[in-house]
Amino acid sequence: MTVNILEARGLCYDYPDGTRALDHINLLIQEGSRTAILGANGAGKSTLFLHFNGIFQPTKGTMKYRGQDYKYQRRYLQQLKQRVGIVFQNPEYQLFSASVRQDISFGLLNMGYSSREAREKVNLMGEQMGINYLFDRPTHFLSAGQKKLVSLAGVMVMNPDLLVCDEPSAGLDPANTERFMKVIEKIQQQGSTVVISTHDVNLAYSWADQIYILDQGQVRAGGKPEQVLADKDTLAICGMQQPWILECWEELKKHGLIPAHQPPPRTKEELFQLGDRDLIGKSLV
Amino acid sequence: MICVQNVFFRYSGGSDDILHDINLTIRPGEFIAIMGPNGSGKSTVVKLLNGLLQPESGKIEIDGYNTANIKERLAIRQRVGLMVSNPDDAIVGSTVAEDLAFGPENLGLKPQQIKMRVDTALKMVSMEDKRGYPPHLLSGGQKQLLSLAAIMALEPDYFILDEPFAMLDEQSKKKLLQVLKQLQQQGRAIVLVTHSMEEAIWADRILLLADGRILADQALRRMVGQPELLRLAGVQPLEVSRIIEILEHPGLPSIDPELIDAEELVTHLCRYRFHV
Repeated sequence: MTVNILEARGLCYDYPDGTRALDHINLLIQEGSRTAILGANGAGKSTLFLHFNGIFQPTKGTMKYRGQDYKYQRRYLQQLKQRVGIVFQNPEYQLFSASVRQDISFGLLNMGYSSREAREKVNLMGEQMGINYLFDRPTHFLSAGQKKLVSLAGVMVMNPDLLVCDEPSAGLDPANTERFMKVIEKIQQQGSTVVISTHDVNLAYSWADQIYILDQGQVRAGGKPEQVLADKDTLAICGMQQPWILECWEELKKHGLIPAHQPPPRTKEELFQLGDRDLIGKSLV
Repeated sequence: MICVQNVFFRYSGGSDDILHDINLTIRPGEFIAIMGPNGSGKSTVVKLLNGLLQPESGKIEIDGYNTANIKERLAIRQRVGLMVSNPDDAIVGSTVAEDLAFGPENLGLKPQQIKMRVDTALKMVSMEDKRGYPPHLLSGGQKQLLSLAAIMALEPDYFILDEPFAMLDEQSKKKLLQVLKQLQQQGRAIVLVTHSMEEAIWADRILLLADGRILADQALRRMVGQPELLRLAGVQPLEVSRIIEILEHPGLPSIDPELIDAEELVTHLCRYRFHV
């Protein structure tokens, strides 16, 4: 049976000056799923994420965790924050310990793990993220990209039930983005549910099970990536482009280079395997 | 002109050099992209360019002013506008307009001139409606737009931008790249630190850094045509370069590896493979 791990119903949020940041958001995150939230700058993505672990309380509407309404009480929120881990867009908001190792260990030690257990987990996470070499460095001496990796590691090491990453690839080089996505994959295979926000439509298309597009605090579209990102009109309204894989697939189909009944490919490897390569090759000669 | 000569750098208390023998010249009207993996020294290079950091050895001169000379720093900072990668490090005003006015006020401009600069900068980043807004309530991307606008309000001769688009959506990014191109045409120099080749193709020249050393400093197309070199510096080549690699077949005429977009590729294929 599918379990809804997180649900927002009619969620509204007003900033203290009265600006409506979120306007009747409805969304559903199923256990074990991969959700990408897309949207232009100022669309409300980060504000929405701050509702997921109770940092923000909605002005109107409800948040549910595993079917139960959120309670905005200290004890409940403490427990919720152990289950819902958020990686902020700006790593500076998250790093405060003197060294990288201390910073990544902080959450684990607060969850009650012994120093030895925490050390083992931190070592493993460091290996997976390729950041062991940074362990003894002071956090303030790291480059922006390295800070981002450490802040991701500090949350992922706690193996949260729901992992929420706000623009995880911003500031990362391609190799580190790939490494991070592999760690996410592993965490998800171990049972975590993952939600990310991103401006990278290609990443969202290849990775996610479901996509929501936010625009001016509202959900403009939601559903399977191949459906949501096929809707060029909505994408244009929200100032977004189609993923290149989907665009190439549509062009190839239009020119009869691949059978029309083929489902759209999700990765570039799937795209390159599509259709009759000889046919494509001959048409280029 | 910015002249970087034989520069080595290490952070105080650090045991290793972060930068090794950096030599670099940036002329007015040039647009340069600095690329390289996380931790390769890109942000350290740009902080050296406006005298925020000082070299361990070697020399950096901006229009003849030496960054090591404290008396020349004001002249340097009037010429070099640096946008740091974390926008929260650069925001000082209690409203968006106040924040934008801060730099021009410190240049000693008259109120009317300050107002004009603030208005123009707001327009450039399409944030006219956020004039009276408190910056701490802006989203991450909007803060990045604000700190970029703050540099524009200074109207420096050299724009040094450290990952200015990391948190921006496609539309804002494209618009701002066009603005940078216009500034270049007016004779300003642009130095753009980025991980994205799609952004770097707006530059004339790419400087690749790896482990604090310059791996290559070449014209844009020459660099685009060497995807292996880019990969060596942790840079993902353009999608079009990857398609060209796939389309290369023995017996078929080879494709120009220096093409930078799909339009050029289609034109090339029509001419040399379809003979249209």
